[in-house]
Amino acid sequence: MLAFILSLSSALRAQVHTVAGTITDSKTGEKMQGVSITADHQKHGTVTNADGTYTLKVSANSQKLNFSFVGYTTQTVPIDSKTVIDVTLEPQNGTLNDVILIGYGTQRRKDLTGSIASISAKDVDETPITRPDQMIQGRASGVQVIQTNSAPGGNISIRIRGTNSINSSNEPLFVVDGFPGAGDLNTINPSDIESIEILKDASATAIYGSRGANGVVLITTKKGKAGTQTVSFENYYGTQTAQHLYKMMNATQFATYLDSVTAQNNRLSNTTVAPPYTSAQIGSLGAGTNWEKAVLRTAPMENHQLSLAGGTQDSRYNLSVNYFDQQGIVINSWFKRGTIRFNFDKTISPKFRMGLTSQLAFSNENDALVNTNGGASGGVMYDALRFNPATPVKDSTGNYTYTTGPAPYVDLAGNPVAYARSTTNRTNNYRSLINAFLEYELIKGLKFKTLAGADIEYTTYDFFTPSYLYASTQNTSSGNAVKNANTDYSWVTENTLTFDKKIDGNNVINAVGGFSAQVFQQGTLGGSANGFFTNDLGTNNLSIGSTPLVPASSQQKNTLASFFGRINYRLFEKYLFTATMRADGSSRFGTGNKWGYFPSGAFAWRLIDENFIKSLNVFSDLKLRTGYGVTGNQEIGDYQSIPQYTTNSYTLDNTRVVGVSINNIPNPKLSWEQTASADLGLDFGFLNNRLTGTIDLYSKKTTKLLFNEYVPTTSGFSSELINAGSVGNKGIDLSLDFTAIDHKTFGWKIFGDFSSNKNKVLNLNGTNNLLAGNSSSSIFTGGGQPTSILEVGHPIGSFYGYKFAGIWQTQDQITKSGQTSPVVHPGDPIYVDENKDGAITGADRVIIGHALPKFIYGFTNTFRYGRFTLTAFVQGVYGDDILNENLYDIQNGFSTDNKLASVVHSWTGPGTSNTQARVSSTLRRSTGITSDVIQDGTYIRLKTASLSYNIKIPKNKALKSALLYITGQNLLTRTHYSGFDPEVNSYGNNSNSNNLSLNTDYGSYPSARTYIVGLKLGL
Amino acid sequence: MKKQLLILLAACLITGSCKKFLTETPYSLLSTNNFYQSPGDAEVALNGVFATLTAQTYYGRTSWTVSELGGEDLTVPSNSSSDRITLGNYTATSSNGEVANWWNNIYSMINRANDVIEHVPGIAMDIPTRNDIVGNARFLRALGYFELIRSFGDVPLLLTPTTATSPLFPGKTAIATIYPQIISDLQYAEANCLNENQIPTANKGRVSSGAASAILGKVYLTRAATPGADANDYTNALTECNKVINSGQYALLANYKSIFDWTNKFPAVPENIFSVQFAEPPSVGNIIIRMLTSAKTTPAGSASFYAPPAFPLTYIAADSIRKKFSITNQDKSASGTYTTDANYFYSKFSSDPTWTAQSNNSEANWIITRYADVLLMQSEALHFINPADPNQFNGINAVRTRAGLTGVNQLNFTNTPGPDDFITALLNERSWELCMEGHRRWDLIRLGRLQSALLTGKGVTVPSADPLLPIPLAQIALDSLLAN
Repeated sequence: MLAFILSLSSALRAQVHTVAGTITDSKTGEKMQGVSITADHQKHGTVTNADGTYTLKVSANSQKLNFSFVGYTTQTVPIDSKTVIDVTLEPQNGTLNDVILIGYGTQRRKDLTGSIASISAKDVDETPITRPDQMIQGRASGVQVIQTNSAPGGNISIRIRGTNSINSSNEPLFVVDGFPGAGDLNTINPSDIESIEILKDASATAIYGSRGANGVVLITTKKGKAGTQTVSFENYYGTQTAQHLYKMMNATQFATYLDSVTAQNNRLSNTTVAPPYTSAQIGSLGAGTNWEKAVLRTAPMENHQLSLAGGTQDSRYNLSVNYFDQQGIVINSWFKRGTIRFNFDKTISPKFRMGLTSQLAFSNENDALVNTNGGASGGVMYDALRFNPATPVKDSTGNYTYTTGPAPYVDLAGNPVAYARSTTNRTNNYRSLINAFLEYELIKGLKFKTLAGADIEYTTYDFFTPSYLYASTQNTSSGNAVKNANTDYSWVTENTLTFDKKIDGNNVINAVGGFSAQVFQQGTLGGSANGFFTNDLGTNNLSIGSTPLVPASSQQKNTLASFFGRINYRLFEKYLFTATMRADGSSRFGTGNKWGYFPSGAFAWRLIDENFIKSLNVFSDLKLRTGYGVTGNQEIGDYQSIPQYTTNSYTLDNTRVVGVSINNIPNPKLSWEQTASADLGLDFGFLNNRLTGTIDLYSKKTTKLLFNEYVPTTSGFSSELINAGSVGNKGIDLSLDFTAIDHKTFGWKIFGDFSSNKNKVLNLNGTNNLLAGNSSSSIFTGGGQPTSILEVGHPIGSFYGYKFAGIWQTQDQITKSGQTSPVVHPGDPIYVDENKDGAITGADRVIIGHALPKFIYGFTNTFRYGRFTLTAFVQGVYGDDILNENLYDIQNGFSTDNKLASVVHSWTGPGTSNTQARVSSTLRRSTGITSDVIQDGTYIRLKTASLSYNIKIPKNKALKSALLYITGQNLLTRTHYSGFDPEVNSYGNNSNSNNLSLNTDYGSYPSARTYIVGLKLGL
Repeated sequence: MKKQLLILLAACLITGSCKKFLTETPYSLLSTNNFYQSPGDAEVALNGVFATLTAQTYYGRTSWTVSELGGEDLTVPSNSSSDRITLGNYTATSSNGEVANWWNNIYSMINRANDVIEHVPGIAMDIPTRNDIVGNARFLRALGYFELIRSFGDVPLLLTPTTATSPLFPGKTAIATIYPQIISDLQYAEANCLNENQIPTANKGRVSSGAASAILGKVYLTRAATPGADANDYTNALTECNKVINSGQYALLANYKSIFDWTNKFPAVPENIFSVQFAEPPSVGNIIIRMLTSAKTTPAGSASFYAPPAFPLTYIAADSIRKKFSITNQDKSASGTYTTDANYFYSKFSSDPTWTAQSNNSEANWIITRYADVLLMQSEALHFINPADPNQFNGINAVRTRAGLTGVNQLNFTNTPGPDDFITALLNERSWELCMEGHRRWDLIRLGRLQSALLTGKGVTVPSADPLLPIPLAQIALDSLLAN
């Protein structure tokens, strides 16, 4: 208001005249709203209205008007005493002048020297996004997004250019509106995201120093734009159904199968055990219960978003409210999220700006119990596969069944429907993420910016199993309740000086320097009790539990202090140089090693601006980029370098007493993992940039890996944490953007990307190999077996085990083979005796598959016809393998659990099958990891198809726009993988085993096919 | 503004405020700067040494998998893991998992004991209490080394806790050097630990002076039977046994089954001298009942171990109290009826009302030594000092009396004339009295009957009279000095 009065009074003093006009889009002919109009030599400007018109009072000093709009070429028109100035704005060719966010600054796309992928909200405008990482999958080359758990709110892992680390995190650093380390994407409302930039190579990420090695993802939320106020309202509803279910035996088949197991066992061991089912019983069983269907359902989802955005030249705001509710396809599972965002920008004076981005979020999820334990606590999906189909969900009295009668021929698992319905497994998250900055121009070209932010998360976890559940009665806990509360708090201060100087037409410098400090704190509090006389109160009153268990709490903190700088130098508008340096001091590093230094340099050459390229008349854009740098990974955990005395317990006088003991060999030299990487890239454009693309070759070497070096246990410890070993990644990223047709009524655009990464273990601190990877301890007789091998010269994720070579057909064949141990019978699977010593031992294990794919790709086709837009997004992974642990239970290995229907085709005599062992064979399970449970994980999938219709709205209505769309997700998948979904990693939920237990499927949550109908209204 | 920034930056660099900012504060764990400061720290540090003992892979299961499967009184089903089968038939290789558990956990305990022994003496506190705590730690360290040399022979001898600068590849030390260290630790414990009746109720389960005497007696007896024997070993063993017997701190309980009454673990005058303490949650429970109980009985166990068929037949008819209590082939149905099982299962630990089917948690203690063991050790020592000494029957007959073997069932030179007869009788007595209590392998080796007993009892051929366990392969791979 004050500014307005001031400007008014100044206008009155000078000689003023008014200019008016209309702004039109040169391409579509439509009137443009929100175009910014400024005059030289005066402070105030204006923006166009919804009908594309403007009026602006200009002072006598002013000689030119500037018309600018994002994505359009800015025009400058002399005023020359005119009173009407109409302008037609040209959309910019391609995106070269787009401003791209880089760490601590921005750059025109044409000036980039590093490898950066950029995704704009506009790219995914017509597809509903339920999680921010869905925007990334298949839309940025060099980035693999893996849904490790398909449950609502389930985990995602993101790998940028391969796997660098063995024991530390491989997840990129997430920077939300300038706040680094805001990693929890589940509680960021995806509708609020304006753009995502993915910094891939060292020259781009070195500015993030000790956190840059795994790549950096910059997320920018939507800001208000100067112009009139817009109100938009979006609703969508969807329905999800499970797909690719296992085809299991029905009751009749399973009873017949159990009888045949008994008959075979009788024959082999000369016994006369009665079959569990009589033929009369089998005759009366019918199909029985389909337990998969019993625990699955068609589940709804919905999303509602209301946003108000707008502002003036001086103040801009965006207020949005969102509610998202996704019910899970497993009964009694869901994820709900509510967010409120308020972003505000204010130009206090031409030199002084401030801004605020803030989000409050609440999420509530109830997770289906899916885990990798197997056995008696294997969870809902696991039990649904193996529970006896002859058992009904409820007995004749209406109570849940728990055992699998007539005799316990299936491990006493517990009725999965009862388990799913009766247990509470709930996480509530309350999060506030707030950033504010002030920016002041000290002298022309030199700006100081200070940013302060806080990320505060409060998470509660409630777990309750009622006293009547099988799991409770078996361990006689009579109900178990757990309640945990975690407080995560982080603050950051980032202070930068940015210097922009155009020395002359040939020399342009942009330099930024700054320092920052960040603190991360985590606190936990937990209590639990057993023995509940009532189930009505759940976890809400632990004091009624007859057996209180030991309460727990913890508090930890890590700090990071940093100095950083970057110089961009542009020579003759075509030679681009970048040098960056960051010094990070981290509390996590050992006392003698607190500071790490991370330099990088890059050079880019805009070949298109050279006459010898221009004269070829082939390219419309051509730029060569190259860079090298060193980045780090400081995710080595807190307190790893110092002596840790941790608590344990003993019993004196029949009462628990607390003990405290040294828990590690301290390592004062412990430091960050270090990745040196080189990148060579080419950006190109043809046909006046109708076809643009980027290709990058890179090579990375990660050294000083956080490494658990095995030490003799005479030390009291089995390992010591040191920095040793190295891993290499080499690969190629390619993306192409093609506007095939761009007609007024019809358009066709194609975007595609392709990435291939080759990972190799280079050094394991002197040893040649280490066994790694987790499997369920309930499958194998001696406990969980390592599933893979880390071997010098081979990639991480190399499955390691016994090679399957068909089925022993006759005793004669066995005798001739000379195999004596273990004793096998015809019908057992053949595992290859690699060292030909007549015995199958650990020495016969070989690499039997690879969890890392040969390449991944995605392409999006967008067709526009009149007011219709059709988008199809296809995405795929090629050349990876999956370890399907479920097959031990449901194919062969265990002879008691329910089986795949295909098991009816098992070996019954010579020549009957060379793939499916006799039903009573348990050899696979007693052998270990075998190649017949490793399956091809290659898939191609129609991930999203969306059809939208932009409804024609008559002018002058309150309603300005309406978009109706229908979307399908996970519509078609072509794969040879037999499990629910080839995009799986059951062990990925545990971040520690995430790196080494890749592509392993055990009791996973099935993926859903989703149909969504939505409506977007603009007011 | 720019100036201010530079000042701030410089201040950070010069004043060292950055250094403070980057110092790690371990809020919820203790470190060298704030531990071993108070008497309370000393107490919990000692508890931490004890805490290692309760792991399944230590005294929960592994210790008796090694010691009892290595005797003729315990076996496993044929579908058991090869770790167990090969320990039972003396074909265990250096990749045996249980052997690795045994090695690793003993050294883990020793390192914690070393930490206490190194740091507790520096704490300002009541000196007798401090010495009692150090005595407890030295007892446990001695017990660890005693188990190690009995199992593996020459092993690395580490007497200081591992730190950032410790040598990690110390090489083996000869048994002859380790024995004096064990004896000195136990003598310190004997002199500084409290008498059983002085241990405060809240600390029941800690090491008593008598426990040190009892283990010291066992150490002398064991060395006495080896080539490295000291001339005074049997006399010293007798002295230690007599210290326990004459202390009045311990006695045989009237009923055999009362020893295993877990609802009354600490009677005024106990029979148990030193036990690893287990209890129901939130304490660590003992898996042993589940391992030893039939899968077909109620409540059901996992039937993982049982007695070989020959074992029940060794009991003389009059020895019904111990036989009935220790083993059973009766499976109880849910309705309370009994059927006869094909195997005899050990039931002596099962008097635990808190234990439930398939549960890993029972409050059964693991008894390292008890008064009956000391009485039988006294008989053994007396016999080897002078085979003609009639007093050698005193201990054994006291144990037999409590088992109901009185009158003609008492032993004397008439029914047990020669030294061989005495050894046979002593080993039988130790088997009937102490079966499944972790003594058998060591008893048979010490008394020279391992090969014959295993052949008779289980049909197992043992390659030598005093076989050692192989040092784990993974450890040899890390340190070639450990090669078997």
